[in-house]
Amino acid sequence: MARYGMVIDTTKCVGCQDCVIACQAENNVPEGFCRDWVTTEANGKFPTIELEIRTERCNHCTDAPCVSCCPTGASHFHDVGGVVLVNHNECIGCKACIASCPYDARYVHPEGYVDKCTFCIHRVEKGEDPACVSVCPTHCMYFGDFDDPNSKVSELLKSRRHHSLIPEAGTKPNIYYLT
Amino acid sequence: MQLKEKGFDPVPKFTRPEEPPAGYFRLLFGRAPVHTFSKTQSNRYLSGMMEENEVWLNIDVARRMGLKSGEYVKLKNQDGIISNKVKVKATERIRTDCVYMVHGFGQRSKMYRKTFHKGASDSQLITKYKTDPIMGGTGMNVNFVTIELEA
Repeated sequence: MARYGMVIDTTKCVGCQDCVIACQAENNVPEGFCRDWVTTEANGKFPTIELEIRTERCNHCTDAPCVSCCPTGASHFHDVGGVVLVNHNECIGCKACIASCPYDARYVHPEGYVDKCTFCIHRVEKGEDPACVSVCPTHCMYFGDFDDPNSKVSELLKSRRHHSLIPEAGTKPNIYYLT
Repeated sequence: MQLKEKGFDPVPKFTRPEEPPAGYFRLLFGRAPVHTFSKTQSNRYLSGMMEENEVWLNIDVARRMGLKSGEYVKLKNQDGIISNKVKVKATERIRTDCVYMVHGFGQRSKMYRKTFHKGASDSQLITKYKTDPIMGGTGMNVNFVTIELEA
């Protein structure tokens, strides 16, 4: 069983937000909404500050609270790669998943259902990278299978210092950031 | 050798830049990776991600001046030119004697529908530049501004 995820090199990201535009164009995200976004975090005191620019999105958690809290089963794990998806026809727009998500990765589509990052599963199933990964000008994003020990993403995690976001929420996120 | 023949010092000595007068900040400008120079600010998608520019101000200085991120101010340069209103960004990412702005905002043409009169223009405030005496390069980060509270 595959476990899809991303590894993002924060030392290479310049914060151009090409990933955001690519996602909006690929997935017809309505204007004013986004499935991924860029966060800039500065820690410390000038002149010794540490800067981290991150592109963030749904973490496709292995223990996803949005799936377990969904009353209709619209929020579900996809057969391939454990990707968390929303079935738009079954979603009643109750927003329980939005409240349960520690990453604030979901939004209500103007048509009434909840929408979120799909890891561009329609592209991945054709053997392509997600749109955001494929457009990154600094090649700071890697998409792959964490269950395959020889995949690029597994090797990056073995060789580089990394962290995930809000690991204390205990949801087992599948996006890691290299520092 | 060539420089010496022309009467210049072949190993130029460092000259200290002018310090801003009291109450003034050195105006720096630069680019954001979202926008390309001053040409994409009116693009519908890109304008959605970065609608206007901000003036970066050291967080300690901002606190001393009683300014918070998101408040609008105007900048006035040493020649009395006053900018369009611009948001303050109080941040650790800049030194205390400078302010920074992203170039390309504060457009004055109504044809730029998405970006007309949003943010402030750094080039409007650059009324002075310096020329390197030897190679002729122009330095444009040599203007000083004060921060004027928006009435």
